[in-house]
Amino acid sequence: MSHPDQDPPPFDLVRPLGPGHESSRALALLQRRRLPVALGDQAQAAAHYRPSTDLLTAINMAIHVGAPLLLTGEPGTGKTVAAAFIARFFGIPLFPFQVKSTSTADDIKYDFDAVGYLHWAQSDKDKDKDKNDPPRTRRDFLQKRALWEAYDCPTEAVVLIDEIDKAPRDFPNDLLHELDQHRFQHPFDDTEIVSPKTGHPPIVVVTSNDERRLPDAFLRRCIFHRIDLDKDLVKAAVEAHVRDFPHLDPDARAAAQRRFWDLRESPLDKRPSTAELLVWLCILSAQGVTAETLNTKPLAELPGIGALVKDPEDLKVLK
Amino acid sequence: MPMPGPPDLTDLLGALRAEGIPVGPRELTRLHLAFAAAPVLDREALRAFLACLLAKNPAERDLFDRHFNAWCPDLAAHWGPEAQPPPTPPDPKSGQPEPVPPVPDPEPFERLEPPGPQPRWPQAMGFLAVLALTGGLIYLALQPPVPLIEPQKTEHAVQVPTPPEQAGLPANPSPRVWYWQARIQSVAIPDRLAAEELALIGALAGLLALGLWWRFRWRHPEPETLPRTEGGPAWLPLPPVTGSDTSLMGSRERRALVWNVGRFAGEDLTRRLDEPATAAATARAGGLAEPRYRHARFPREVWLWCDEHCPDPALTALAGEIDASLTRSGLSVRRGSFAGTPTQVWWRGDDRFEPSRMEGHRQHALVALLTDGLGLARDLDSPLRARHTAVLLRQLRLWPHLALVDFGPPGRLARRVRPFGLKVLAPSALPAWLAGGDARSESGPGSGPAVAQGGDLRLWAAACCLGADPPDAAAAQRLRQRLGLSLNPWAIRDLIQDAGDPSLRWPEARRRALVSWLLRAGPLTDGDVPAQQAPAAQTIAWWRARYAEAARRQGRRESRLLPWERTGARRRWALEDGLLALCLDPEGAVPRLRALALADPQLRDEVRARLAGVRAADQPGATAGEGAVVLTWSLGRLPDRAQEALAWLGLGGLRPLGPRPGLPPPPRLVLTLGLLGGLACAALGAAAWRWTHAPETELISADPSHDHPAIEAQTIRVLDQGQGRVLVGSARHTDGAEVRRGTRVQVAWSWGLGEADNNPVRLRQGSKALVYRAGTLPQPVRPCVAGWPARALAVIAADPQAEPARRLAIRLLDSGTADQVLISPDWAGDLGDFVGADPLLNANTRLLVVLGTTAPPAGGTPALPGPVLQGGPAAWALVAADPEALADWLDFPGVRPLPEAPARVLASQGDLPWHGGPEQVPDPATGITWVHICPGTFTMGSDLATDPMSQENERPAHPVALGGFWMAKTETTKAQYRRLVPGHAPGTDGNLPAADITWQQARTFCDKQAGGDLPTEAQWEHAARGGSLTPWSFRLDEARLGDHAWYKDNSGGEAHPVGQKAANPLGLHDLHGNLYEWVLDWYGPYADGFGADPGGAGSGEYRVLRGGSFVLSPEDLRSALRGGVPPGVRRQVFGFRCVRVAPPQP
Repeated sequence: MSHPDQDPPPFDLVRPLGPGHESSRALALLQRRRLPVALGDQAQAAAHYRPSTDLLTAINMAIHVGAPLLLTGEPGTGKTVAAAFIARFFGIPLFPFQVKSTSTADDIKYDFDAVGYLHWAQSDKDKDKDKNDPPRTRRDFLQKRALWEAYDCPTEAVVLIDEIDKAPRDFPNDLLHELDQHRFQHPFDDTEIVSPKTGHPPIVVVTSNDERRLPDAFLRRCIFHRIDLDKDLVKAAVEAHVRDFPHLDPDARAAAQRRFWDLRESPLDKRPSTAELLVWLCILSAQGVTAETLNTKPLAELPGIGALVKDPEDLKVLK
Repeated sequence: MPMPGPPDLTDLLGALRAEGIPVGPRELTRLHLAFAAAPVLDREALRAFLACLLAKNPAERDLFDRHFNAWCPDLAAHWGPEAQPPPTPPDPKSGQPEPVPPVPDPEPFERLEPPGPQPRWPQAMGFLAVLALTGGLIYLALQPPVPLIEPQKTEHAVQVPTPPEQAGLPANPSPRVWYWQARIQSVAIPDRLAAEELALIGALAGLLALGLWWRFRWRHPEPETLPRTEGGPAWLPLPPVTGSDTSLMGSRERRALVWNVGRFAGEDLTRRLDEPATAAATARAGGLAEPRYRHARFPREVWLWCDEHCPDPALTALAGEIDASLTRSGLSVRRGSFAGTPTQVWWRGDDRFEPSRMEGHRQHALVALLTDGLGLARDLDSPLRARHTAVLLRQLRLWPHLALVDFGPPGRLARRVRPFGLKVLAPSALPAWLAGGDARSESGPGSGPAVAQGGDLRLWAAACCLGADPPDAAAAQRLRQRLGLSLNPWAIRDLIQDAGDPSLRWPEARRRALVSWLLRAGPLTDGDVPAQQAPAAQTIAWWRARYAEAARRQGRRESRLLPWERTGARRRWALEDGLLALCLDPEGAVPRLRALALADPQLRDEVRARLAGVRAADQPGATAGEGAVVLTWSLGRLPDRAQEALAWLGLGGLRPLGPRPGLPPPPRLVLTLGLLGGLACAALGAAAWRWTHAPETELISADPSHDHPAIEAQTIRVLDQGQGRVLVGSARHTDGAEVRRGTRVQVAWSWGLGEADNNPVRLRQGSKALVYRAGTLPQPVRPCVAGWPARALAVIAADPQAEPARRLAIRLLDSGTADQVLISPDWAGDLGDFVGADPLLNANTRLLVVLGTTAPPAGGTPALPGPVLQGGPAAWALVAADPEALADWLDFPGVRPLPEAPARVLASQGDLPWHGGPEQVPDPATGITWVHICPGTFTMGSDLATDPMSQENERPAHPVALGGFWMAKTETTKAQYRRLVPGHAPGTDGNLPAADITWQQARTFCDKQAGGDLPTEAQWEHAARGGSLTPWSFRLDEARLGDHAWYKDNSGGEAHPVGQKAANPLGLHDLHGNLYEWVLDWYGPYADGFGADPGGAGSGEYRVLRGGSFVLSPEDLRSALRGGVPPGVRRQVFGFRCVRVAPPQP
């Protein structure tokens, strides 16, 4: 108890309210908790990323033929990190674009603040408009997005179009031209063509979660690679993050992986992925679970099972 | 069916296109791009490479994988299951004691024998060769002097009748002659070998080393090494990009062009089936070796009812075969199936049919029930169904054309159904029955399934289990045919029964016993291997052919990216082949197995594992029952190399010796090779160095003092580097040698060889011709006129005894015009011998031929005999002259051209002047006439043997060589001396010699006035003697002294003007008598031995005076006489004369 402030906080940060509970002390403990660095940070994860030979083949192929690289696979198999890995490998910027269900093909190129423009246009008529404001045009309300930014980048660049399967059906189709020709018309200037400054198209990585079939025309333009979750991949991922589980010895890690695969072979609706395994391992490490515990407990009673199985139905199945 | 070539990438792309995977110009372009980067691909990498480009979703990826596998079969994967035999099932017949074939008791094989006594002769030969090389080397290095050309001595002393000496020209030559003689003592390349010899030694050593190595390799061949298996090449033949793509279309059009799967669906592959081939193959697979059918005689339907419970695949195969065959013949065949008992039969298409209810069609159908009878027997034994089954069988008897085909153990079904009168056929008899032949129903327990493992059946079983992988039924049948076994094809069921495994895989122990038995089941050759006609040999041949065929077939399927020859699977086939060959030809098979094992560690382990279960006949454990395949040959009879390799391969559990097999070269071979190789390298290197840095040929005098310029000027020392010829000697005698470049030629020079040569001599033994080499002067001084030849020869066409000719010869010799003179009446015939054939010498030779006055007029006859002149003397002349007149004329200083002589020049070539005596140059400035004294060698001093008047201080007589100089023709006259000292002896005759002069005054005069110096003592005596050896410079005739000198008897006690008496042979006056002459040297005793340009004593009190004076008696006028006087003394009898190194320039 010499340096209580330096001790790692206990696992049970949150406990039943009881006598003597002080929010401030609990908050202090909460603030001292150490989150694993790699789990949330793509750039950190890229440093530990171990691409398979086949994935490297696909990446090289995509770079050589100048086609977008389409990566599919279960969540947590490292599709997004692959893009960060390429950027890190070449030391070039990564321009990610997170696809939403409402994304249109233009969103990846630019964002036009229509409301701001309207407001400005309206205020322009007002008498009390600040004279000091510089005169503005429509272009000033145009925000460049990932693809355009990548085109403007003075070096090579990586464009990540993440989870394209979330987008409406037309999104990939509308992107065909851009991904093919790597140039598009300026939205407000018919004479201006936007194209990469370097003359090379950026390296485009598209990820998809297999949730929906992509249009054939889009597929045909891509280099396709499916990242299968296998034991080697999981093991590599665990070994890459081993610093995040300081209290797990190799036996415990191996046992945890064994149980993880047991879970994956169970008839679950939502099977756990690598990312969830890593989180689970963090929990196990924080709890100081041993290999023996992991080996002996039934699946449903594994410590921290909530990190892996998140569906009550699935839990029932396990029981 | 044409054989397809190796599949191209186009095939794969086409197939994918047919599956609906979009493969268009875009993909091709991308492929071109990607392959341009030349990736290094093995099969898996190639698969990933193509897949990421062509397959766009998991479903397509599956399709792609399937096509890729077909296109680029994983050749290595085909081996897997066969290489690892499955766990041995328990032997069902283990209860029955197996008759173990008697294996001959082997001789115990203890260990690998050390190599037996090898013949010693190769080593001896090698040793001798090395010895010879070394010896030759030493011999060449220490090559003794080789006198290449024996010095020709033509010493045929001749007594020339001496005519009475008379006034005028002498007719008697000096009986002796001195000249410089050279003897080539040794011709050697000092301490080393010539480049050619070195190269020869190097080449020999190299060849010997190569030969030894080759012999070693020939006796112990290195196993061939195979290249390691590698990934595929980066090169791929790509189809060209054709057509345009859709990339420039609008998105709507593009969407319309989304690839359509159905459009590209190909035609049904199964329609391409080669039906006859398929049917035939099926029949073979079913055990029908040669199915032959005839059309049924009645157009009846054939019904084939197959027992579903029968596990024998032959049943279905036979049914199918018959079906196909009959259908092809236009017959109607219906196939049905029943379960054990034909109570109900299901036709194809699920129609059910109960035979017992069949009424009408019995007559029209030929019905065959294909069954193993187990179901029937069970039903007949079952209390519940026995009756019903019996009824059924009785009903079936009513069918006119119905037979049971027995696929069970022979006889069992027949026994059971015999009570019901049903016809039972063996499967082989079915076709005949169908064809309407007299169907022999199988009766009773006959032809021997139970023939327990003996005879042909055992042979068949052993043959079947010889290969590494079990043969399928068809293969087993072919094997049976090949071996010519008199067995029914259906005996294969006995085989299956024996193996306890339908796939004909025997338990390992049983298999080994069978194979061991098979190897001994026939005659053996002398080498203890199965003979050609032995079943083992035939079986092995069959298996090997099978492997070869399989490998060939695999090879045909190879993808261009992964050549079959480089796959691991191919090596495994080769391994199987090698293991089989090991039984028959161990010496041939071992290197191949070793090469395979060396190429691949995996294969090595496999070979070792396989060979661990094999024993040679003389290995421990080679007795029966130990579960090893015992080969027929003995390890001990194999060559060492093979034994070594087999041990390395772990035959019969021998311990592997090392990481690599093979006999290392024996140490002595390595040592010898190293020595020889080093020798070869060194010798060749040295030879190359010698060639590029070839040293010049050197002439070395044995005594370095003979290299003095004074001697060099008198001798011939010619070195022709180009032709490799050395010529040394002087005008009267030369020695020559053929030498190689870089040779060091050591020459021993001698002045007269220590004794005088005879003069004259006969040209050759028995010849009349005489060769004069000296006239009256035994130590003649050769002319040194510019351009004077190295050798001047003269020929006088006359009788050697004729006096005029002799006089002329002596005159020619004394004047220096000739060095040798031949007097011969047959001069033309003797010319060749006289001149000699040495081109080097002849190039520097002049030849004068003096014919008598009776010679034909000029131009009338050919001059000199042609052959002599071919490469002969450089210059020659043919003159006709009176010898007397010519001899008289030949007395003048210097040289005169040829035509000036009183002779008719008949023919001539080149310049050939006459030399009458030393050159004389008057100097008007001083009044001195200078005489050119040419380099020469003379005997200085005297001894009692030749000169009884010899004084003590003149001895010893020793040879002295002198360079050329110019000497005043007379003693310095008063007139001359007055030019320096005007007041000298006024009033006296200017032609009198200057006297009363100290040594220093004389020297000062010579220096200041004459530009020279006093002569050294040697110069003076050389000049005084002029080639003579006599006490005086004229002939040994004291009476004639008065002609040459002023002395006591004729001087009248006073000096006389200079130049009044006759000159000595060099044209100098008053050397004897008149006045003493100062010379340069201190007075001192003579140094013994040879001297060149000697300077006299180093110090002394007296300076030497020479020549005697007018007051002295003849013995004091001798050339050798010397006296010493203090240099400051002046006397009236002391005069002097000067010498110069060069004549005064006008």
